[in-house]
Formats: sequence, C-alpha cells, structure tokens
Amino acid sequence: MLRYVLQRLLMTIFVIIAAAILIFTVMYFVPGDPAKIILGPEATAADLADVRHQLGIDRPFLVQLGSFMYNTFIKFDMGTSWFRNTSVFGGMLERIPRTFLLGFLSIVLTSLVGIPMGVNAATHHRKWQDKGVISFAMVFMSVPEFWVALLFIIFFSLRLNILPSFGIGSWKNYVLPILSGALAGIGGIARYTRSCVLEVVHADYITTARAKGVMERKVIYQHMLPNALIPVLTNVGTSFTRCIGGTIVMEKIFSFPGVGLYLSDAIASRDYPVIRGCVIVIAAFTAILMLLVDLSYGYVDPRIKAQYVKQSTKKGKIKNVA
Amino acid sequence: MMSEKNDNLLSVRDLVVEYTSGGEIIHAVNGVSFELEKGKTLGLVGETGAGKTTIAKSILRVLLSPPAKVKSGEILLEGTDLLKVREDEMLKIRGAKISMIFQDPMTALNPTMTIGNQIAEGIRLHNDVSALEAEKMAIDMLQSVRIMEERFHEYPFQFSGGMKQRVVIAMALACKPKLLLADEPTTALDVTIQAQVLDTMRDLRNQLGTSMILITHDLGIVAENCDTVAVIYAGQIVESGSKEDIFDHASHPYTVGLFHSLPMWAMGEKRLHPIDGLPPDPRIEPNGCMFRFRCPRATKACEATVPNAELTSGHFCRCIAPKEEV
Repeated sequence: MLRYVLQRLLMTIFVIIAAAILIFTVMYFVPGDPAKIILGPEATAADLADVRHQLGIDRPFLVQLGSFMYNTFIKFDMGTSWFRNTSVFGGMLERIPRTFLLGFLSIVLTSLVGIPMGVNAATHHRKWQDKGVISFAMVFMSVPEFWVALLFIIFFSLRLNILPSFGIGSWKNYVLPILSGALAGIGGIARYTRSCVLEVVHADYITTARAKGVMERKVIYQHMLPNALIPVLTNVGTSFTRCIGGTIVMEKIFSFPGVGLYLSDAIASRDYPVIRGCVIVIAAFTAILMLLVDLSYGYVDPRIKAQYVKQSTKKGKIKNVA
Repeated sequence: MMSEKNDNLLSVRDLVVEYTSGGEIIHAVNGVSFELEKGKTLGLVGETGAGKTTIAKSILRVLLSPPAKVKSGEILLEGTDLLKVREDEMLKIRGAKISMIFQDPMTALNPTMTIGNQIAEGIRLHNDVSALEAEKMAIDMLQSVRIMEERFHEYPFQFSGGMKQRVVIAMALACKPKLLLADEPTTALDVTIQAQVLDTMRDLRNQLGTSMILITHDLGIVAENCDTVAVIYAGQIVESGSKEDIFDHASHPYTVGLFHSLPMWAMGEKRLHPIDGLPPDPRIEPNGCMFRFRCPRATKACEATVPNAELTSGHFCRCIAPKEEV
C-alpha cells in the first residue's frame, strides 16, 4: 500500500515537470510580445529591446527553459509578476485558499444534494421523483453556467439586493458563485448516481438483503450505495479538479480574486511567470487529487484494496508459511 | 386465537400473481394452493418460467412491485395472512421466521461487505444481542457450514461458488427460521458440490427443525430431499401429493412427460423423450387445462375449467383423464 502511494507520488512529480515544460513551450511560441504590452504601442524599438532584455525573453528558448526549470524546481522560486511586481508565489498563496474553499464548498454541495437526488430517482424509477430529477439535470446541464450566474446576479443582487455580486469579504460573496457553479454539477452527479444505482437495484444481493429483513432505507444506503458509489466517486473527484482549474468563468463573472481570475488576467497581459505558476499549481493539484480518488476506491471496494495488499504482503506471507 | 386443526406451518390458497410489462399483463401464478406441514419439505417442480420463484418471492413479499403484483390469494403462516401484514411487521418475519436461499450464489452476496458482517447483520436485526455476540453467533454459523472462523472478515470474491452457497445457507439459517425457501439452491453449482451443499442444508435443517420449500427442476434432488411434491405448469399446480404418489403413480400427462424426459439407462432406453412444444405464452389469460397444447391425450373437453381431483388421499391431479394406475 505504502509502496503504491510512493510510486504514484513519484509519478505525480513527473506529471508536474511535464506540465511545466509544456506550458513554458506553449507560451514561448504563442504570438504576442509582453514588452509591447508593458510599454504600450508607442514604445521605441530600443525601449522594447531593453525591456525584453530585463525580462530575459531575448535569450534562446533552451536557455530560458533551463533557467525557468532551475528556478522553479530547484530554488522553488516562481518569479515575479511582470505587471504587479509581486512574487507569483505570494500571489498564489493568497489566492489558492479562496479558490480551494470555493471549489470545496461547491463539491460538497454538489455531492450532498446530487447523490441523494440520484438515489431517490433510481429507487423511484419512472415515477414523478425520477422524472423531476431527470428534468432538473437536463435543464441545468444544458444551460451554460455563466448564463445561470448572470440570472442569479440580476435576481439576487439587483432585484432582491440580498447577495453581493462581486468581490470577497464576507461569506455572502461565496453564495452566488457556489450556487451557480454547483447547479450543473448537481445535475450531472444526480444523473450519474441514478444510472449507477439503477444498475445495482435489481442485483440479487439486494433481494438477499431484503430477505434478511433489512429496512428499505438501510438496503439503499448500506447495500446499494457502496456498490453503486465507485464510479460516482471518480466523477466527484474529476469534477473537483474541474472546480479548481475551471473556475475561471465563475471568478471572472463574480470578480472573485482566486486562481482562475489571476490566471485569466495573466493570459490577457502575457504575464508569463503568473501563467506558469498557475498552471503548475493546477496540475499538481489535479494529480494529487486523482491519487486521492484512486486510493479512496480501496475503502469503498474491497476487491481493489485486496489488490494493493496482495502486491505488498504476498512475499511476507509465503515466508511466514515456510 | 386461530387454532388450525392440523399442524400446517404454511398454507397458500389461490395465489394469483401478475407482472405488467410494456402494458401487457403476464400471468405468472394462476391460483396456486398448497400446504406445508411443520418440519416437512415440499418440492416445487417445474420448468423455467413456470412461476416457481415468483411463488417463493411472494411468500417472502420481496417481489419488486411494480412490475409484479399479487392479485389475490392468501398466504397463511401459522394462521396469519402474510399478504395482509404491515410492512414493518413483515420486516420481523423476513429472515427470522422465513428465509430464502437464492439460485445463484455468485450474485447473492453483497460484494462490498464481509461475509461475517452479512451473516451478523441478520442476526442483529432479529435477536437482541450486542455486536460482539452477533459476531460470535455468525462464526458459529460459519463453522456449522464448515467454513473456518478466519474467513469471517473476507469478502465474497475470495470464496468459491460452493463456499458462497454455504455462506448463503448459513445466512438463511442464522436466525433459526421456521420456513426455508430454497430457490434452486444447487442449480448454479457443479454436481460434486451439489451433494455437499444439500447435505449441509439437510443436517442444519434437521438440527433446527426447519420446514422447507425446495424449488428445483431436478427430479433427482426432489427424490432425495422432499416429503411432498407439487408439479407446476404455467403458473398452476397440475399435480401434487406425497413423493411416492408423484414418483410411483404419476398421473398428470405433464408429470408423466417429465419422467419420460429423464435418462433411463436401467430400462434400456437409449433416447430421451422430451415433451414436444413450448410452455404457453404467459400473456394468454389462463383457461382450461394449459397443458392441452402439448398433451398427447388432449380432447375438446380440456378447454373447459379442469377441477383439481383427488385421486387417492392427498394425491391431487388437475386433469380430466389422469393416467390410469400402472
């Protein structure tokens, strides 16, 4: 088990390094001159060359890549923002908790509402509960999130004036971004849970459980759900990574100063160090989260857990027997 | 209080069960009646789709509804009509007074729960015991089906088919039920394991005094395990009686056909004699004798309702022209 985790962590490091090289290369070849953006359209050729030299982007590709990798992975220095003149690391440190909280809360909301909705739909297959859940999911999965967000702003901020539409400061600022981001997720998880539960609803072991005299509620939550939950878990895991990496739209709409907004502003202004920093952090986050999701399978599905155990203890067992 | 004149544990009377599928009604069980005495074993014999499993599941009330619906009838367990009992009362009967062994041990166990917990779950539901005591009782149960205590914490995928079925048996008998419904308990197992599983079942039942309804299409298993036999065809009991009545004096043409389709090496027969044709479409409203389409002795009179005639004491046959005694 421990060996497996270490192996996966090692893999994670390679993933992060690969992501760093990739984003550096892509940004190097993307058209657009940061020096021009910094100095404005009326800058002279000499000034531009001067700024390029200061930023270090007049050096050959491999030299730039080398110094970037050295700084990032050996000195753990992600550089300074070209526009804000603040350390990228500090900027990230400030923003990650906000985005993380936003993503975490919206995934909690998505799971807490979506999974029971899906279970309810499956156990009331083809009744009104089922149809209601399906319709809800269909509507909110088809409608673009930004449109829902705008409607929420009109309704809750402009008409009712009960929730702020931008900034951070109080818990109220989190409500609209979480809600408008979670609705599609709830629909998705509900639909997915529904189809997974429907697959086990007719399983023989469910009848066995009923034949033992187990209450229907316990049949659903102790016998059906653990078996249906394995694929749902992957889904929740991946949608969490989407929350962290993909809140760009939500953060932009609500002017929510998180990683997403940081990244989208940086892309607009060709702020290379910030872009790289954000991508590396998002990649690391995604990789670690996927590892956690994989490990959590073991706790839900004993068959997978047994595989981990087999790999690491089989040798020991044989020795003991001998 | 109800004091039944005889010592019947279970009487099923005129049970009718229908399924709805795509707007059509499927007549699965069409007026089945039988009795089961305490401590005895009844064999329900019939081909696939005859309604055997549906009968067992309606006794336990674990049919999925919809699509299944018990239209009418009575299922009396020691005088109480199970079809009228409230669901929360039924929870106390399932697993405690009546329990069931399912056909396929491969799928009958929850893959994400340890074997031990699956046995202990039922014990805790029906006995006022602590978790530790329940675990102890579950271990005893495991040992009585010859599975070692060490395997208590293992999962179904770590067990072989025969062992899984023994676990299912341990689970079913853990609360010492009065009635065991065994739905083709050995069909999914190979022949050498079959005998082993049946022996285990018999030993335990004898210890606990449990009555059993054994559902099977294997007449050999019936011969070895049952006291009385009911032959089911198209959702109706066509012939019932003691094991001797059925095996030695088979009277209904269907029962006779069943025996003819067994290999009879001793009699010098080289070929099997299957019953021609297929069971009737269950969507057809039952009328008259449902076997007349395949019956070699069918006449015009078979289209009318056929009474369940008592040939000799306790030997019933639903045929207007039962085979004469050989």
